[in-house]
Amino acid sequence: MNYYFATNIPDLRTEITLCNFASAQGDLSANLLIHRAVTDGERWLVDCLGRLEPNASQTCSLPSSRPASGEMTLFFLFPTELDQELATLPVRPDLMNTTPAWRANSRFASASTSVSFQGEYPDSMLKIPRGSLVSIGPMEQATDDVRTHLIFTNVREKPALLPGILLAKSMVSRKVIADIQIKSNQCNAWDITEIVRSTEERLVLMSPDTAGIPLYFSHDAGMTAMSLEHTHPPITLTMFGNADRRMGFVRQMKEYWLRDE
Amino acid sequence: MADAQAMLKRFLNDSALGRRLRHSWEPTVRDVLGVRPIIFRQPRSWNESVSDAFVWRRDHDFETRFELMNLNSFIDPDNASREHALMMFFSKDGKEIGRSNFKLDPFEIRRVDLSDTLPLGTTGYGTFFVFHEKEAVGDSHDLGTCLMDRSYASYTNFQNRSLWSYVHGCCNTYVLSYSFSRSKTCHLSRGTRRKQVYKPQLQFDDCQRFEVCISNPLSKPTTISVNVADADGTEIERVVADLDPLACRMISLDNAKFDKARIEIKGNVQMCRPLLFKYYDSHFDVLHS
Repeated sequence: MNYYFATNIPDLRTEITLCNFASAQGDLSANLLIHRAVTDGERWLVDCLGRLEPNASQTCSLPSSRPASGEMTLFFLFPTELDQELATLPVRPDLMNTTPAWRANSRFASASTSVSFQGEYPDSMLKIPRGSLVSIGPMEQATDDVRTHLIFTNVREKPALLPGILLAKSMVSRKVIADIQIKSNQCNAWDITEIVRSTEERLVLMSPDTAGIPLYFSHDAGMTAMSLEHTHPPITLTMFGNADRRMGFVRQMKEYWLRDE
Repeated sequence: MADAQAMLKRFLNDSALGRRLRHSWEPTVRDVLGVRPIIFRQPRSWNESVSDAFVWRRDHDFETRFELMNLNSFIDPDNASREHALMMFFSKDGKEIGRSNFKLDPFEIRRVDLSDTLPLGTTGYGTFFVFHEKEAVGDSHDLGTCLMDRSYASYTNFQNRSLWSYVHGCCNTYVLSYSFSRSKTCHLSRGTRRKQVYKPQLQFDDCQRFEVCISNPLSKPTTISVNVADADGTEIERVVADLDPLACRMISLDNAKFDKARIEIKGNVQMCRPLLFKYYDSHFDVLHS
């Protein structure tokens, strides 16, 4: 099964569209309930938002008391109604296990436009005790009128808000240009516009202690034009062949960019 | 038994003969035996580079850019070297219209404006593919896997020329491989006997117009239909496209009544993933499905 994260961005409406059908592989719809979860640091507070009919889709919003900026709201589909307080999120790799992955549409809407991406946070990533990240996603934009935010989300099975670090290094010289403190189970938003403007080099993002999914969100001053896309994990730079060799390349990348110079 | 399996795996992955057998016969053998049929044919050699299908658009509305990355230096950064990258452009009819070669420094990411690389005066839309090889060692470099470009394209239109909207490659995945030594492309996507359905997991009833770009990743002509339905699943409209290999069609759907909520792509293609453009009052959204 997969989770779908949503964050609150001032002046924008955040929505997630969940589907009770697979994109391929025929009719895999089932009895599924929509759940929404937030963490208070000690428990997952879960709401059941109702049944999603087979072959239907539904667009869900953030709670009416909008979470603070950076706070993460998780949406997911589950066959039974869960308790309102959970010590751990459910991990069920047997549910909605499809190729391509069972996705949702995550959307930010302003008064005049919308932007979205198709994505998921696989439950297999929830059990990673202490991950790491190297992300090459050259989607930064920082012209006069345009700002870019990095939204980095790490979801764990347990609700604790654990500290971590996210670094931006210059691609060739490998100098640390900036670093921020992040937290697990949060959508950590970071305005990287000035960082981009301060260097001629392209950026590599990395974390020595936290795995997750980075999104690049760019917009103009009036939110009349926006761009949103996730980055690929390094494993997707290769395809076919020996899985150990492919993972070896990922390890090489991480060792190289996480190494202190 | 486990030893025999490991030996067979090593033979199929690590020897030239094994890889050729996998490329030519594995799909058929699996189909006949019903053993986990495969969606994508494996390239003949690990020297081949693989690319998603990317979409270019260039007209009075749209311009396209591509983030061309030195992939070799990213996967093997301690031995980073210069790279040769090849971009191949196809018209919407699937005809090759041009190629551009690039020399990339280690770790270079070059923002390529396609108005500079498409043949002079080219307008409209089509697909392009991007392949990579290490400059120094040429085709003799054996990674044990294939380099794969599914990087990021971006689009801007007349409504706002300062912001580019990004999407990663995916107007069908793993479409072509290219051998630099043989100067040959190979189609990796396989056709199917039975019609396949692909249903993007999103809704369209929030926008006044949208476009669905479908492409034919196969080595032979095929027919693909886009079925448009309302929120209850009732079909409202159907568009059928006959597509030559590597041809694509940008299907524009008016949604002034906001009643078109879902689409299904039907054809003899596995995972026929479209690229989507959704139009709002002040800008557009582009996304893979």
